[in-house]
Amino acid sequence: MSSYDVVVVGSGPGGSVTARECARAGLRVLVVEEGERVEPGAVPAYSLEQMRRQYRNQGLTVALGRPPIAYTEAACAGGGSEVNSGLYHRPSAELLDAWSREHAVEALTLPDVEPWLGTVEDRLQVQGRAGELPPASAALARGAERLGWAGLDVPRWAVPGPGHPEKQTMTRTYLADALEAGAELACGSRVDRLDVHDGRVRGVVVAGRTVTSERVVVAAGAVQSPALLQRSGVPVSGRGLAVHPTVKVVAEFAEDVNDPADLATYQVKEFAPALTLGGSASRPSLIALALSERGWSVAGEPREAWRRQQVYYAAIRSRGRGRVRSVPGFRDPVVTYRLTREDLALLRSGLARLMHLLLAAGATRLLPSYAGAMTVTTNADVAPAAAAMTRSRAALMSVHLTGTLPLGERRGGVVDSWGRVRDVTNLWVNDASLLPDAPGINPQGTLMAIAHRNVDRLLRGDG
Amino acid sequence: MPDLGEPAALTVLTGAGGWFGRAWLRAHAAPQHRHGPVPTGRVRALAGSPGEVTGILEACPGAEVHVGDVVDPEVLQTLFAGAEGAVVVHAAGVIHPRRVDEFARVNVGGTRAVLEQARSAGVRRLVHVSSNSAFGVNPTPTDRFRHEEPFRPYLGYGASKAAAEAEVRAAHDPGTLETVVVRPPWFYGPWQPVRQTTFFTMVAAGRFPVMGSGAQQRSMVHVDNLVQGAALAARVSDVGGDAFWVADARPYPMAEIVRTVAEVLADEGYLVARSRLPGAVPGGRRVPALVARGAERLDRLLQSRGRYQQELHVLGEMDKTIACDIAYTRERLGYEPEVELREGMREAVRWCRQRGIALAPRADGAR
Amino acid sequence: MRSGATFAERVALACLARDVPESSLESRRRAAEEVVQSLTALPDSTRAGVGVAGVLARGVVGRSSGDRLVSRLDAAPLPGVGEYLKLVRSLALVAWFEDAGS
Repeated sequence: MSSYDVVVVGSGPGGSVTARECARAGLRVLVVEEGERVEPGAVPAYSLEQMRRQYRNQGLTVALGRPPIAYTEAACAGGGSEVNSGLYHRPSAELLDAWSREHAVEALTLPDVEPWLGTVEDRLQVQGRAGELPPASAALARGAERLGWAGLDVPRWAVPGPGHPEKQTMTRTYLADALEAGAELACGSRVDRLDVHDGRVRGVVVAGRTVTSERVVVAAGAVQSPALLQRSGVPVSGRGLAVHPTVKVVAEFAEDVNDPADLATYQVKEFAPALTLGGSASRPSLIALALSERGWSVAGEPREAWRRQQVYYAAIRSRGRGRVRSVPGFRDPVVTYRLTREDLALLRSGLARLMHLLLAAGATRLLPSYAGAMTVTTNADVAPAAAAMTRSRAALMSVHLTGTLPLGERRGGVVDSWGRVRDVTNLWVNDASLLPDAPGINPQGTLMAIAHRNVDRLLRGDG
Repeated sequence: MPDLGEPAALTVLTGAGGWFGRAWLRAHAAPQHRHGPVPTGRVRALAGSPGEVTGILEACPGAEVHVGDVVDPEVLQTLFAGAEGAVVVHAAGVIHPRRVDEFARVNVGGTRAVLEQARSAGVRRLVHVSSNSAFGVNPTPTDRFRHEEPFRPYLGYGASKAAAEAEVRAAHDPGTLETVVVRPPWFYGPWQPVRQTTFFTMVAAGRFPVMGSGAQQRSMVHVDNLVQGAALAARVSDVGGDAFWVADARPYPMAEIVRTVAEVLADEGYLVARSRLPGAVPGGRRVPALVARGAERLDRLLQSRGRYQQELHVLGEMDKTIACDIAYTRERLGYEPEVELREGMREAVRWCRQRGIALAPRADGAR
Repeated sequence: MRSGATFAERVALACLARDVPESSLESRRRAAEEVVQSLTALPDSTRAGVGVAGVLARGVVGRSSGDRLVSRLDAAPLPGVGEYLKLVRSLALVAWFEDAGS
């Protein structure tokens, strides 16, 4: 194979921003992607087929711990942007200030990042919904209004399409731009390791062969990026993994609410950033999955009940942290997560508040998704149902993985304020690993703006 | 400013011998701006026992005092005789009983009985004094209870207050009996009971346990702020069936509460033990949060067996944040708390001193 | 590997017979085959653990099938066996609902 100016490992939001900007600057760019390329809309959203084709390990990944936390990562061209819900938030000034302070990050205040947020919003055509809320969102909005809790229908990077909005995924936007500007994309190619010698990276090793490059940018996500660096002999602890631990409830209403092809985009932000309440994908199979967490209660459910049912969630900012460890001889890293006592208290409080909201919204029956959970039909049931979610019964999940390679000038940090790996002069990281913490919002917008900021620095050569 | 209805000619108060009860009666007798629209007409007060009568009359010499059990219908019938159009402030309740079953008997049964008798007597509005304990504890130090929250009762007392609050709100019936709930957190201020004196004594001796960092926060309410909240709840129009947090303007970190009490005691001429440990809270003794968790477990175990132990219960709550947001109360009732921690604690300390209640040795050696 | 696969299918079939009793045997068979496919996709460490749990589970159920098989796994005090049942059941449910459930 030939030599490149830049090899980008991973084609998700971080990698796609990196590839586009480098290609537009006239560099020879190769994007190496482990997964396959699936055209947006070619497989049903949130389906088993999508899990099989676009998720790592078919979506069956779990962070070990007590309780374990199921998590998902995409593995496909375009990465998480192809499979997520497409919700967009700007990070708050407080969040960026806290990161800057705690991790001694240069130039990461809101004014520093704002121009890049604008660039991302323009390209992804971020917009609010025109027209009425669909039933699953309307239920959240109704509950929030009745309780006087703040919430919003979250803008999406999507354009109105026939039926459902067309998400402006990476394969439709940044990755397409990158290819148009001359970047090459190699799908189905797993990078075994980086070829690192004497503080320089010479290239990436794919299927036993080295592809040489002047620079390498790793953008494989918060689990795979540290694992790849570990496999390549770069000293990386893999600690600091941050997620949004999430608990779910199946809510049943008197009328139909479920749109299996989309999810509720309304979020209750009254308790943000510590706690966010919202709606999850609710295909019949996912409803059955949520119900099965409770025990043998699926059997009694009428088959058509799913139309009146919808999965809702309470997600928290967690004080706990996890760790990614690459184990010799194993292809996949071992991921662990330690949920703190305070996290569990916050999850219980979130579960109670979510159920309170759903009852206020008119739900007739609530089925919390944890082992042995009772059925909730009145306000008096909420407290015992929340209290009974112990460590051993909880069934938690998370998306939004961050924090394993936090940017900043803190001593002992692997990367600097711009994602450059300290010990390897021509190696960068540019993905969600850099975000010091799970931010309490859907992080894709934040991470893309930071990726822009970093690649701009890289291209100006003063990194 | 919300609309105030006509003041009632008669106010009936249960729990009159208690901390809030006597503060309310004092405000009747000597209203101040901080008390808000406290009613100035006749007041009829229910004491739980004859021993409380002296204290009630000290606070309000003109009160008509009845004595009896709040769950006894005959006692209530007499109490509510001719109470048509009156306002009832229902403050009777037990917090630290000997046995757990007292919670249900008095806090739930008493409330039910008062609602029934008030309805048949033609009472216009009932203000019920609820508690933060019906809502449990906040999950983080920065979390605040909102106006609308799920009940998550903290042990036996919390369960009884949750049940009572639910009954009071459900009993609201416009045109016949309006009900309004006020939810105070931890009280302070004059008319304090022995348990608060113990708190001061422990702080003066530098023995009050401050769990962990002391960053856990507590909403507190000066009794005169609570009087204002309850007075507004009794008068403001169109708030029937609703419930309101009534607390000081902001929650306080536990370390600040203990430090403020220690400083006020020293200012007021008491000897306060000084800790020389770096990072120590004056008046407090730093204790690992683990101790509170152990105490909470033991408290749960004892309560599940029907027994109640006050010190254990209080200790078990010490590492918790219990804090509420009063924005809705400000908006709907026009509530503006005027007393703040330092000034209010000073009033409480002086109140004790005036009554000869010993808190700590005096710095000048006097007794 | 083949015997492990057939065991997972047995467990999946028993779970589905309980969860979706009105379904056709054919649809349950298709879902059980999907379960086997899913198990191979597990991350290495999880797959290793599930393999061990599967061996324990096989010891627990012996020759039983149907409800009896499920009850035995449900009640087994051995570590991992309950989790094995939960995993196979959830995979089977998702596969069945995706294929035939809506």
